[in-house]
Amino acid sequence: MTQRDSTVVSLDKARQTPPPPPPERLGEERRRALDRFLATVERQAFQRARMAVGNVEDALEVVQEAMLKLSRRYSDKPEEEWPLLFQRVLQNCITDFHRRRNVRSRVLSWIRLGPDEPQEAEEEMQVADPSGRSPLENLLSGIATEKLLGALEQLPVKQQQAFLLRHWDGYSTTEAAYALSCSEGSVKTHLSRALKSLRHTL
Amino acid sequence: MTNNRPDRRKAEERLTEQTRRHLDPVSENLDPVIAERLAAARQQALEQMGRETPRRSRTTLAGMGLAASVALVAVLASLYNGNDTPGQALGAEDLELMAAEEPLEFYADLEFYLWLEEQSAGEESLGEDALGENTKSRRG
Repeated sequence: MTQRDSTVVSLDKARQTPPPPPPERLGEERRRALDRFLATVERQAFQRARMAVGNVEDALEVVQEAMLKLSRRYSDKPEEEWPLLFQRVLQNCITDFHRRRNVRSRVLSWIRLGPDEPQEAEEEMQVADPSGRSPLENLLSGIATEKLLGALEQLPVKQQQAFLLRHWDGYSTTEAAYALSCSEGSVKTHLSRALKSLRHTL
Repeated sequence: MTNNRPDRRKAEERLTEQTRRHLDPVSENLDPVIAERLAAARQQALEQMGRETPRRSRTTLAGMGLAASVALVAVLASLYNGNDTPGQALGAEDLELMAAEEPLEFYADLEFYLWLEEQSAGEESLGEDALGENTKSRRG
């Protein structure tokens, strides 16, 4: 085989196996994927944040912070991990917001606004049976959405977020525990208390 | 008890369905101004993709480390300089001895050197006093 023949063979091989895309193109594809992902979750994230912080401006800030953090730190993670990572980042941003607000209000007025969440021995608590006197399936039937939103806003943040993660996003208890950075037992306790409060309010 | 589980699961699924029926339209029919602001925030986040900033916790840890070092130096210095509690002063000297590079013979004769230093300092101050007296007398 002449040198020319070998060159032709190697060229044929090269034609059969396309070269990997350059890094900048990979980065662009990743960027587009992240754009698509954030576009699908941003509205729901905003609503969750609004319920947790109580107003539009702070909610926008919290969601922006969560998107920035995901983009900066976790954009290289597999795409299938993004949804739960984003929920966790968002939850941390909400918690940070409440911490900052508590500190600010304490410093400014020396008045404690009321605990964000009472300290509790969560694991020791019994989880109430949700199929009690007021069946779950009847809880939200025939009520106005505004009333539900109002009731959700009244809940302590952890209970509210546990409820939304579980019954709006449809995450399992394990996944909700990851997003809330707590144990599964705590998620069950938060949920049970949230349902109790919602039954009472609605 | 076991019979309740499927019922409970069904009840939970129904609750999830109803929650979505209430809340999904709320996020779908978002105010266009807010939707635009969210889209702008998203674009801003995408511009920062992969540009991880140093985490605050690391900075805090570095700050705490620096503060701890300064505090340690301050405590050691106060222990070394203040002879109120001989036991503690000894501890500071021990630490200094461990960290120093001088030959051990130097430390064996340390008391002698300290005594010598005190003596020479005393003589100097006596000399200065005497000099001061002389200057005064000259001026006078």
